[in-house]
Amino acid sequence: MLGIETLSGNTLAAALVGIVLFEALLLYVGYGALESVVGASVRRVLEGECKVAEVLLRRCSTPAGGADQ
Amino acid sequence: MMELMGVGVDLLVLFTGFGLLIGILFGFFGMGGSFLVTPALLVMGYEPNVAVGSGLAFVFGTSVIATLKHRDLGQVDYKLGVLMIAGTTAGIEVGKLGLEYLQHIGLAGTVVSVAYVLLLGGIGVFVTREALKGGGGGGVDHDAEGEIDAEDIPDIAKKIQSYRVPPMMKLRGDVRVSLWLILLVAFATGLLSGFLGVGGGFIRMPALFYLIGVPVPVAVGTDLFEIVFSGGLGSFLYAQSGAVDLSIVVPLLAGSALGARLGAAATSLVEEDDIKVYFGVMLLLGAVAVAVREIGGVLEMPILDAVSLVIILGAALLVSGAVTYSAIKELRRDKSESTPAASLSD
Repeated sequence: MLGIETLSGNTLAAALVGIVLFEALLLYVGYGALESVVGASVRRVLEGECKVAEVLLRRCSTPAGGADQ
Repeated sequence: MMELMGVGVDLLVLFTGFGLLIGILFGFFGMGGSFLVTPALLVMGYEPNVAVGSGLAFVFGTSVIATLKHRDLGQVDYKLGVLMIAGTTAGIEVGKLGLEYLQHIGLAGTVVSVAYVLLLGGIGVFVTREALKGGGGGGVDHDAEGEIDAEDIPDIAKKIQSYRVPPMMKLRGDVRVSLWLILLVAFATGLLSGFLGVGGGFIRMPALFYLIGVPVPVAVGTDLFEIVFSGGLGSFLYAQSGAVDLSIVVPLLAGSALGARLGAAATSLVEEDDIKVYFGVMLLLGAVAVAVREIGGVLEMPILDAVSLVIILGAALLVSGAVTYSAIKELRRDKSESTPAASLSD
């Protein structure tokens, strides 16, 4: 898989750990981007301000301000 | 059945869901990765070296994500983290020597098992009792940059901080501790970690709070920072022999990346005493699970391995559910406090 079958020893170890690190950073950035897009809506649902259906139908008005954690 | 990366889609979904669960606990407590993953992979029939190696690689990836999230929240003390790494590494080496001696005289299995159960249970009882004694009331200042209230610092930490052996280090939360005492605490936690052959997050996180006196969210963030290095090194050593299976690690990490973000964010919402109670409960149930597994080994009853895993997974589900519930409750409370009710305007 991913062309690392031919590697061995330290090269294999570096490749495997590198892939895990790359995936971790990719996921961190990816979920971060997702959070900035839908974070505010999810937070409003969790706070009980809107229902999931209202968010999906865009009937829950978004107050001014940035995304939440 | 459809397959991706040589693995059935059902297994990928299972791994992703399991990763989400562990990620929440890992981001929230700074522990629990290999504690949960390795036994589960062993019961699923993976070879021990693959279970341990893949578990370590998963812990490494999740700790990178959780540390980055805690860094965003200002909850990682790098200076303390580097000192802890230095002291812990030395302690692990000495702990390993102790373990090798016990192996030499044929007592390693029994002593390590009993010590592990007692330590898990002991820390679990101590943390839960201290948190419940604290009363749970009175909001906790989650701002890691601000000064920590004197009454929030545990008595043992106050005593340790009172020994002013230069050079003194200033840590997050305006905590001042002697460099030598930080190294001593790190060495002691490393000693236990090396002796028991475990990652040691469950020892380090309470040690950072109860012995050094940093706020709980900073203890979690700094512990995770340390796990990045120990997990990275451990997975590298196992990966040299190809014992890291990406078809396990990739889906687990996809789930845990989201869970770790949620867990890390929850540390800035949930009351500090509640974090300690959940941590204590998790350790107590972990102690029961390990005890059941060890008894199964002594009595040669493999069924107890499965019972142990069910207890661990049940505990993980229960505690991550409680963490999520508490975080949502705090969010709603914060919201109602920040938007005064109409009834107050009269």
